[in-house]
Amino acid sequence: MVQSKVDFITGGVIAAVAAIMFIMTFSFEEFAGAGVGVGVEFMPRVIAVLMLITAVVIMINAYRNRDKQIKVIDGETGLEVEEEDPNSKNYKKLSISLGAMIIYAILTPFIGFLLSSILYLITQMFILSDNDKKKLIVIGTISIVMSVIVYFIFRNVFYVMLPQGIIG
Amino acid sequence: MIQSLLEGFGNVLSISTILLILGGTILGLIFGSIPGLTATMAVAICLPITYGMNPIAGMSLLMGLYIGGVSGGLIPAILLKLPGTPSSIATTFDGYPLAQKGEAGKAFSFAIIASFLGGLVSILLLIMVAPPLGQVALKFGPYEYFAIVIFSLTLIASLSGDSLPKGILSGLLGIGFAMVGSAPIDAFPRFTFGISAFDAGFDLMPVLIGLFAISEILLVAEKRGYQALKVNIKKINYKVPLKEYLEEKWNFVRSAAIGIGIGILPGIGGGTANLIAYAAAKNSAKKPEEYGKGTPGGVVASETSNNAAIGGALIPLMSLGIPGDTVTAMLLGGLVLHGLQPGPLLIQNNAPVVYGIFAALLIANVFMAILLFAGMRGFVRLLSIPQYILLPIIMTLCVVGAYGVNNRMFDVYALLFFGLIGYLMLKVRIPLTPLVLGFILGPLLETNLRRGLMLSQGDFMPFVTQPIAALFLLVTVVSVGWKIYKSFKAKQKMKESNEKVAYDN
Repeated sequence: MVQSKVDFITGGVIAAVAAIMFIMTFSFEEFAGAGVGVGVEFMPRVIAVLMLITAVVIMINAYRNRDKQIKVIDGETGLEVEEEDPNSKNYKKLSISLGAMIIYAILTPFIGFLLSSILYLITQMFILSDNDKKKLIVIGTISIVMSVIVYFIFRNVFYVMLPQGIIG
Repeated sequence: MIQSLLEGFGNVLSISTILLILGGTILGLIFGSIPGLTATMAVAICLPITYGMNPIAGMSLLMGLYIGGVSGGLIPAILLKLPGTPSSIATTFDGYPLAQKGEAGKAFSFAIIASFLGGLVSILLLIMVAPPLGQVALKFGPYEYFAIVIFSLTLIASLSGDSLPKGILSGLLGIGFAMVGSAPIDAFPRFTFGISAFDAGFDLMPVLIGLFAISEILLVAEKRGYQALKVNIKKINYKVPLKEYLEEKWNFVRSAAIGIGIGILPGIGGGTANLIAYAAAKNSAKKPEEYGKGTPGGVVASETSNNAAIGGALIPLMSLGIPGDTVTAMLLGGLVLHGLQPGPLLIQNNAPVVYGIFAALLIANVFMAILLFAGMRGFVRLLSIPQYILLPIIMTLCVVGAYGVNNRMFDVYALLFFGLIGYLMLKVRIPLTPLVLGFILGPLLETNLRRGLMLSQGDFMPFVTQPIAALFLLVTVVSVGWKIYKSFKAKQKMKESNEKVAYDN
């Protein structure tokens, strides 16, 4: 997708978020006749309006540049970003990773940090190693050893009471 | 004063206290170097351990943790492009490109020396000016703080790359996210969707780890064939000619001043200082286009300022009992735990402990530099660990780090949420750093605005008529105007060259 198109959609989404944010400020509770100065709703409204303006500016810029191949410069490094090759995308791996993380977070309170970490580590390492079955033994060993080390160091040395779940 | 300091050294120079400082520094370095674990967490976790110690021994351990925790962040920042702590975000901008060019050793040398000197200068300044400067800061009110925060926020402009609107948007998003939860001053819930877990708002830790670490894991997952760097450890050259160090002397002075100055301001610490020092170094560099591509100047700016912020943050803590950042807030708790009353009378009433703390800081600073130099080869080995093994382990450590802040799963869910936000922002090319700045500064902005308006009975005028506040706002307007003028000029130049190309064709 062309960067200007991405920008246009981004601006639109942010504008919508800003509008919702602005509307939400009207349901804030407050003391009747709260003190002097501005109330809890003042800053959120200012920020929402500024966000809306910025989003619209981004959309206008994107529209004006719609046909141009604009140079994209990375905000943090100042480097020019190469146009990505769509063939190098791997959304399947991405969504499995994201899914694994979410399941990890959901499972942790139930089966405990230790078990869920072992399961997550094996899954995530396997995905990132391009499903290399030859590495499964190494991955499994590292996963179990690391989970046990992290769990016991943090529970017993640093007293971070990681969830125990069913093994507690 | 010299005599008090010597007495302070006398109190600290026992085998057990020295070992505590050494242990604290090592543990701090480990916490600092693991993304997601920070100096704040190290201090928080070790605070209970110091209960049984005498105040000097306990505070010495905490000082070691503080120095080590802030400094350790440079290791993964350079090797893995993951800031180990918020204080090292800007170190990744140039440290990582340097490491990729095979000059990790050089990046380390610069970073360690900058850290050591930045820390040393700021600690010496702390020892000298803590009492008198405290007197001045006493007079700062909400108008002045509001103006200072506004000024800090406009630095977003220099961190937003090609698109100023996107940088501003990122900063606004940060302020917006910081608004979730109880409002400052009167604590009414905002944007909580009626869910009580949101009442306390997002903690800085999961926001940071999510944005900078989780998003990275997701990006790696998306790119096929992203493998570990093959770096030949033997080939890395740690030696840097003295001349190259000396080239960065003004950069060092500026960054140290920025670090100390920002450290002093309550609520802002090394996490902000390194970004601002980096932006300042880039703006005044002879070759700003080299920044971000792996120039030692960027590493020097970031690492000098974050260690300089240590001494800076301790100045208001020691002289006024006001914490300058999250770690000093923990240290404040440490002082109270040991029965020391923080405030303007602390130095007067507890001189031995205070000067003991100063001595411990100086010793920890030396330990930090020695440990980092001695352990560098070991740290470089981190590069040879394949990413498919390292990243998932980092994920579990991030979960521990997020969970450990408040011992609640909410922070882990927040971690994932911000990981996704960070990933999406990277995909649509909105810079992440302004969001962090906005997230940290937003609440300060609002608190001081509302406090100021309460003080002035709803009148906005004092914000622009109070001299110190007015000065900061003026500097803000000038710097923003300059940035807009410069980007306008650059755009015109680009347009002209485009037209010329069109004409030539």
